[in-house]
Amino acid sequence: MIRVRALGAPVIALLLVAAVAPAAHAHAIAGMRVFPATMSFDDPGVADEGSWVFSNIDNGGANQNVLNGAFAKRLTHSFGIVASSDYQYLMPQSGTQPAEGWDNVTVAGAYQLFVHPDSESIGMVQFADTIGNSGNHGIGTPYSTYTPEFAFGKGFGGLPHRWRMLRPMAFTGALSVGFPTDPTVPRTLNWSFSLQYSIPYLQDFVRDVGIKGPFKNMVPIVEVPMQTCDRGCADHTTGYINPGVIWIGHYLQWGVEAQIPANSRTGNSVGILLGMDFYFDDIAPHSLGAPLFN
Amino acid sequence: MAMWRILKFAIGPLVLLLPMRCAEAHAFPDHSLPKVGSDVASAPTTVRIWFDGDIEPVFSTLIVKTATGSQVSVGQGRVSASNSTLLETTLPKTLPPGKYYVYWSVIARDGHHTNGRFPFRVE
Repeated sequence: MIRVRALGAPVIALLLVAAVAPAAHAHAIAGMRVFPATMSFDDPGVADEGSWVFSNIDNGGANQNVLNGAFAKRLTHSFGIVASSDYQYLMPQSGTQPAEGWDNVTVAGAYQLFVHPDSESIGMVQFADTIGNSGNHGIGTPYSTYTPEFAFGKGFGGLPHRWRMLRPMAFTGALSVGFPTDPTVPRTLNWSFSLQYSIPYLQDFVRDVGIKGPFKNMVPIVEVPMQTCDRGCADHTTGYINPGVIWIGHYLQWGVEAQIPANSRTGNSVGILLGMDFYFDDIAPHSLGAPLFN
Repeated sequence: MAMWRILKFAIGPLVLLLPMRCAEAHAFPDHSLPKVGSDVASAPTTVRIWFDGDIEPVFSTLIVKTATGSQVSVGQGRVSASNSTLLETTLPKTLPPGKYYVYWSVIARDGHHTNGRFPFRVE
């Protein structure tokens, strides 16, 4: 904690923003289950997609506006690369000059570890490098961070008949550790999960209860992106509880979620997340949305 | 001003996407008869699923089985000649009461495969 404090409020704010700004998004399908792209952490799919997530929250004495953009491209059916960054606008409530600019660029390689259609389970591993000094001065950090990650998803479609109305539920999660190249900066354990209830799954595979559009495309979801810092910060944990809804269409999805601080150390204000994700494999299946190598 | 720059950053790629020729996406059911998970008083003679996009006739199948896995529908199903979003199959006229499962597998026009199953019960 002493070392985190020594970094100063702007860097602490950036670390908090990093906790809610994912490096990549991808939608994923395992059998009958469509896992929508979660907005606050990586989902377990490797795909051809582009995403935007806008976040606004009062935190650490500043009003933070962050727009995260990510582009994911499959090189093969199972392996893809991702590039992402944030544009940030931080308005201190003390009346001092706002800070704005690009955060460091993150590049990553992701591999689809498994997809089990019958059990509606899917897993992905990813290695990301947030490149030091690749963003604007005062926004991006001067050091790089290497982040190995495992993301997974599991649908509840195998529940017994008496629990059939819970079959549309699914659980996704992501575990990663951020290793900064600056030894004075704490490592971070990122542990995030979501619980979601798919109305399309209910209507198509369990029971047609008569829900019409646009509600039949909705997935109510609670995302919980959490972060625990390690080495020199006394295992402090911060994070958010994000209830919201994601709407899944043919070519894109959009979503809106509240950002509720999970504890007082995270903050006291409720923020908002708005996200859009474009499915390039559906928009342009034979060009931009196809793997480069079959 | 900064917010406007952020919005331009977000909207720019959307404009680039506009001239891109869109193809059909993954095909998912829109509705079906009998309805998913429904109890029907009289045995249906057909099962029909309307999808939210065109599907390929050659690779799309619809099969109805009993709870024990015996096929009761005739053939592999077919895509309607007059409606390329409709997949259907024929059932025997005297389908006994019981629980049945509909198994479907379709290829959308862009080549994406989706499949699924759902139950219905004849009372």
